[in-house]
Amino acid sequence: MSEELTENLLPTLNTRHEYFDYLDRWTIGTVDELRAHMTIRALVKAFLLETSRHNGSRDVITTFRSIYQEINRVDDTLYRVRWSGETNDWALIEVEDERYPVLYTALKTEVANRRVDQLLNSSSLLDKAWFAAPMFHRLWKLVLDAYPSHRFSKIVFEHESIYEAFLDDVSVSHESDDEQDDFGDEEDIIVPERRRARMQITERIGRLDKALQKMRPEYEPLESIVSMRIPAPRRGGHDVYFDGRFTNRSDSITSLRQTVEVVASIYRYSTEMAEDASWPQPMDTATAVKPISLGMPLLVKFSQELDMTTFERWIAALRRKNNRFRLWGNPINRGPGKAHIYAVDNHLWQPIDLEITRDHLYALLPSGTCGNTIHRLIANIQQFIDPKLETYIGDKKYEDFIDQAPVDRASGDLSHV
Amino acid sequence: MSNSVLAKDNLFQLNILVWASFPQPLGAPIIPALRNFGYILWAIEKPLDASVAEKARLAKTTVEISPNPVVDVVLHHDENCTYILIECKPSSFGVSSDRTPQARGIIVAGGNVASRLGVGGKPVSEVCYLVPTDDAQSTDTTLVALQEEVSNQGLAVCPTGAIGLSIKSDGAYLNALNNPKGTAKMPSKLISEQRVISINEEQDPRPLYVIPWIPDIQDDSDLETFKEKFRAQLLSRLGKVAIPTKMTLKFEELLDEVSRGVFRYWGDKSSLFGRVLPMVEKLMRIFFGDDIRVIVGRREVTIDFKVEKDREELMERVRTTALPQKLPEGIQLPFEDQL
Repeated sequence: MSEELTENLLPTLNTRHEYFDYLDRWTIGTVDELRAHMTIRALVKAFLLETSRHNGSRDVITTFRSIYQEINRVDDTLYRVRWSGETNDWALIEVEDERYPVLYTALKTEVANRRVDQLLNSSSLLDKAWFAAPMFHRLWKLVLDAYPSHRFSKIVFEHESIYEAFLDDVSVSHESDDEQDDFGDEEDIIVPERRRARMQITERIGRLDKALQKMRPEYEPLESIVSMRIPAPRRGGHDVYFDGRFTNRSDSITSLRQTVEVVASIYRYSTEMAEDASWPQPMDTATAVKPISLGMPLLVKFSQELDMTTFERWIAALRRKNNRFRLWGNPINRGPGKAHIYAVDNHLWQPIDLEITRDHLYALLPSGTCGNTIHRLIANIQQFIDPKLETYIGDKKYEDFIDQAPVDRASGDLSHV
Repeated sequence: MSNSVLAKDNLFQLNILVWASFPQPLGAPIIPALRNFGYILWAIEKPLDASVAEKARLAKTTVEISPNPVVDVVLHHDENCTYILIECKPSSFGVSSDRTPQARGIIVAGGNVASRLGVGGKPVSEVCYLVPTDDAQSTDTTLVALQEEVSNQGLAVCPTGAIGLSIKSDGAYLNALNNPKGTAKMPSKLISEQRVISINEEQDPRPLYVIPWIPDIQDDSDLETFKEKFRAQLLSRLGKVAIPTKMTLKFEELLDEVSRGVFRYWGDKSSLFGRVLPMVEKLMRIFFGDDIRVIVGRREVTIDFKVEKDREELMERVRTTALPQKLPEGIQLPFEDQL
């Protein structure tokens, strides 16, 4: 894809300092002007990506070059990214960690999203980061600790029971499970009647926290957070989305990068800890003098029993190549309301073993299956099956993997935010 | 598969033991009954080879004793540094059964467990057989008789016991006899039977199979899991490959991955080659037929991907190929490097 006129491409600059200075200047005033509809300048976005190993190692730059991106080095960890056929760069990619590169761009949201999706679709070695609700809960605690209660934040909650249908809807076509079905204008289409909630609350963080504490026990979709605004040091904030996207709505790129770093730090730690816990560890059984490690199972307990139709529609969806869960397998029927699926991820091509019942899901990750599969699975279950989950890896709560993650390389807290 | 047949299935038995030792939270649908008593999984398919000195002694006995038995599961308990050697069997057996040399071999190994497991120190050991609950009584009797036989040969032995496995409408249970003859302590924890798998009525009690295949698998075992895991692993390999390329997939690597790395633990692989590699070869031929892009060998398959369409077509074949109910068998001729 190469648009004739792509807006907001980057000029060619020489140093990291010049680039981030440019984006900072780009940002100053942008938020106010956008609010007043006075500018066509888009907001700066960041995308936290994840690379998989190829032949035993990760290499961001080689992966990007393999999908027809022209990459030029700015310094040891920052690179310009140019779309094939264009004369200017559309993004910068920062590679502090070969596993978790961060892509920055000022393209308009829909163009930036489309390009990132296209990159991901072109390589089974690239994926987005995926944040389930416990990640947002951790961020929310940090926000409450770091900021006075009068600062504003925004939280978006979203849940749609896509496999649920009332009895007269059981023949609803499978297209309802197509990916990228958003909550757009529904005026001209007939939507099957099922549980569907999307709420956006912008409020002072003190009031919002009090309200949430009262509302959450009453209404489960409030457990399914898909986006949260982290306040910036002075004004505005940074929107963090469940699929690894960040949008800067502050006047500082430096603080955006700090927020990305904090989230990446939690994500990195929790993913690696989840992998350590769930992967089998190889050893030579003939000589080993320590216990075998087969890895620990992931257990997701639903808050209430799924109805049989929902269960059956979910299992049937996993037999199709395109479904929300991005998994494919031949379900093995284990009686009413129980199925085993030895599945494979349709994008990263990593296997995962699943037991799904109306009450729970067990997953076993083979060694090498990326830990972000766990985050994505939980995020998807919350959004599309049951918003309120209890999740464990072995006997340890999934939340613990997130809550114990250090958030700052230097001090272990979020004091700089 | 009926519940009575399932309770005899050593693949099911083995996977029940694995799940009973996995850490799980309180209230989980699978209860780690063995772990709750402090037993952790130490090894699967563990070879218990005798030393030269032991072999020499065993050669002089008047009863047949396997010097190098392989035990299905080893559990460990920190208290007194105890190792439980567990063998899964579909039924009980008598003292004249052809299973007795192996049983005597495991009992002798249990008598010298520090050396056999290579753990040193002064560990305690017990030998237990897991059988369907109805067979626990007679298994207990046989094990005590074999232990006595071995002891009479002047060899060190260890306590023995039987563990029962039963399947009810609400799940799969481990249990033990009230007044066993064997003196193993571990089964006493199961006198009050312990549920491992919880199910709703009419559901199949099988858990996800961590181990989908074992060398001494019974002919009528359920191998659907093995086949679907194999299919997923194959798709995973085909999906990841960079095109164009000629990719070689070694059967042993696939088997390692399908079995969460346990295949590589099976010590005496030469005995497996005659069964499992021909089976994999035939599976590959079923998946790929006579596709000219694929060369199926006896230990590996080579696939020539020239363009993306090759991948798409071959993956679609793997996705949609119907596999036979029973896994194909074959007779393995010697490999070139064995001639």
